[in-house]
Amino acid sequence: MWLILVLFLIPFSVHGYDRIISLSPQITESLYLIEAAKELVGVTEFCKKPAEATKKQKVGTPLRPDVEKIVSMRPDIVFGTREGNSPLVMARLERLNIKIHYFNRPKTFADLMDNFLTLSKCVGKEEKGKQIVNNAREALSKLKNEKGYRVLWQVGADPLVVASNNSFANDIIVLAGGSNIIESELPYPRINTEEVILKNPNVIVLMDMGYNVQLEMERWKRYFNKVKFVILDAYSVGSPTPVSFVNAVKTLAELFP
Amino acid sequence: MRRKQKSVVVLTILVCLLLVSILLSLAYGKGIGVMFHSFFNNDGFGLILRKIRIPRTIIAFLVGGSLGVCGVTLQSILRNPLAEPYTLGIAGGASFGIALSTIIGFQRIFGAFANPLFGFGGAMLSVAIVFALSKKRFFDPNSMVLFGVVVSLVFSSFVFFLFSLLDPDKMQTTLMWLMGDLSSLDIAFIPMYIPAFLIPTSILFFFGKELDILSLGREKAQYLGVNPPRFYKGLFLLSSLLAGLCVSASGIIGFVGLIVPHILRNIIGAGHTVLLIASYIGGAFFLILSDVFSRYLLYPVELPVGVVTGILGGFILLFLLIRRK
Amino acid sequence: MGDALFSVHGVVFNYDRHTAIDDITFTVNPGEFMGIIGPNGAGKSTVIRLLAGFLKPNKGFVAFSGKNLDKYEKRELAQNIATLPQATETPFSFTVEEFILMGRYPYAQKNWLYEKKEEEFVEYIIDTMEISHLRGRTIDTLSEGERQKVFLSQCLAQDPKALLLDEPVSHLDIRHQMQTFDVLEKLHSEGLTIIMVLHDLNLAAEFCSRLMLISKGRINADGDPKTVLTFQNIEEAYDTVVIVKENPLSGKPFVVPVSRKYLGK
Repeated sequence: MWLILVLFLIPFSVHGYDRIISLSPQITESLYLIEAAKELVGVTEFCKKPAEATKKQKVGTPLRPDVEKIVSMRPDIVFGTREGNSPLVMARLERLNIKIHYFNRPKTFADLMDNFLTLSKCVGKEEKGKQIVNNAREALSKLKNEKGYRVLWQVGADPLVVASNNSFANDIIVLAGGSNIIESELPYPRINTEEVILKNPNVIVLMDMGYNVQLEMERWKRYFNKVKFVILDAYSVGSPTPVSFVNAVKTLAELFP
Repeated sequence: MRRKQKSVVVLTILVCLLLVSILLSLAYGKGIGVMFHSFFNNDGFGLILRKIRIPRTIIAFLVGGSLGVCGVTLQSILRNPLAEPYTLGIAGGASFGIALSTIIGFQRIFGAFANPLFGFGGAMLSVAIVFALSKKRFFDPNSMVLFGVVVSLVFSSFVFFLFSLLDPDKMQTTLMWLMGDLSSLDIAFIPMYIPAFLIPTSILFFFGKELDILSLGREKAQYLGVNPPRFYKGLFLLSSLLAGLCVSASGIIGFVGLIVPHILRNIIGAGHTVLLIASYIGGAFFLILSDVFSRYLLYPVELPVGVVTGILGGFILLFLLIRRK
Repeated sequence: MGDALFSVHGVVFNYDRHTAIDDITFTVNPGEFMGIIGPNGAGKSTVIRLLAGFLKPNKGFVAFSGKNLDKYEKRELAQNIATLPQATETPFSFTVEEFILMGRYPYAQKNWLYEKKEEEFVEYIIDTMEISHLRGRTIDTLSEGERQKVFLSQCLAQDPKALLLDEPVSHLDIRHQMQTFDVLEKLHSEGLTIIMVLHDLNLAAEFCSRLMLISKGRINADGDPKTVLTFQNIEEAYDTVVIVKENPLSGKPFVVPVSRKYLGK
């Protein structure tokens, strides 16, 4: 027990890094939130939030980080994810003695908060991190639960792909007082349109990415005349921070005050 | 003339199977009575029937039938029972067109027309290149296949190149569409697609005699009074047009064009006049049935129909190959 | 020679750079039974393909019934000339009937199916070729000899004036060779003009009324078997020592090659 606790604390005992590279848009944005961006020297091509992040040096895409570039930048630490970064590239970095801290992609709101706190501890901004997390929790607790409206969360069109009750997006729906009409073991199943029509959603969440939102709204209007549409920024859902998460929940909750 | 009677019997059975599959596709889970009732009433199922099931069944019919006919045509011309509608590099070209439209973001401009339009455009581009290259070889089938394979490879490489630039989320959508998808075609296309599909198909139906003879090879075909280069050119063009339409309507659905002619040839014989029609009906039946599986096997989760035809077709083909020896 | 069936005049044919046929001129009259002989690579098959209109001469012309082959529609030509190339193969299992019916293509209307009268013609061919027992079989199940009969039947279904054959018997055993020649002789006696490439000099001498010996793309000798099959002609064309004797039954020449080990004695 002690040993585990000690091991757990070792990475966090050294507070603060001077040269940080982030290989995930989500981590980049979080670092800005906890005001640790000064030490951030490298980001990926896909790190577009906040706008200042795009001015940082680029080290490739999350899927294919540029090993040579990263090594030449002599980072103290690289923040990456197991799911989003190429394992082969990460293994090469490890062999080159680059220190890497991995985060797991959050599966729930709780995961998201944990990751955020871990990150802030890691870079010596624990206080700021806690503050943001507490603010987020507080904002969510003010919302009414269980409003009983039914939500379809569309992830992709052509073919129709949605977020099921086993997805991260489901937490946003539930915390906003709604319920997901699609239940499946798969987090993002390809779904039969008939099921959507039978379940008759009140709200359809569309994400501004990869497909034409305007067109999808017109398509759905053929089947439902009273449905409300919410357009969420795909970036804030796909790579959420506590702040963007809360904003997404609020946007959804405001539909049914 | 026992084969003729057999053909009539087999064709009748095929038409019955087709009708059953159509009814299954339309009335699944509801029953035929409810289906007819709902068709004329504006209830919940009527909506599903008219806006989802009927268009989808029509597209599956058109694409499945066309793939069958394309398969028969190309197998005869290329004298290779393993040829299929995508042999001439159409798939590579179509993938390229769609990847390009995704990366440039044409979906925002063309909306639902982007995938069909660029899929078709890409397919026709690859056909045009193969044709330009084949001209000097007098449309010799073997060189056309070779050119087709090379063109397809080049385009596939471009696709991977484009994908390496794309956001993984966008890439996923494109990939899923390419794996074969009957669910997302906009209803607005149907009035356009029906003649676009049916005209080339019905022209092909009239070339049974020529396909018989062309399968004997270029030299013998000419001795029997066929002008091979002219027919190679025309038939390739028609079948490529059809295959391009199929890709544009539903992505790449494998195995239909390969397995349907193969099975039917074993049953009704090699004569192309009957085989063309049988393969049309058989292809339509096979794809509609596969689509029913893809829709309801894991309901509400949908399987890519190309995966269903691949698995179903693969097993049938293996079974046939094993049984033969 | 206005009534010649085929007239070949000053024909030169090149495959890419290689000259296969180098200025040949000859005519074939209706009713001839002509054999084309010569060593491998002499251009025998090329001559057949030129006569059949599959290859176009680079120089000179080939005419059928006084009209240049270029001027014929493919279907019209197929009504007059039937050609059996060395290898005819298809990956598909056509029935014997379907296969022979293809020979009626030059006459068929541009309809969806063949008409009744075309089918009746096929029946007639099946009867004359005595292959009604094969009717329902598919061609991939036939023996070499049976298949050759079916191929010939397809040619006859074209109801041609001339029949061109490229080594029709070289892969058959002697029984089927004789059967094939019996059929050809019968057709010849009914007025069909036959031109065939033959490998076997003795078969050529026995059945053909005229032989044409070609070598290196040129005609070495042309005439009745006795004048063509002299040991001088053969030794010059084939570069092989032979003895030429007379068949005691038919009076036709027959050729025996002489092995090297008996030479120089």
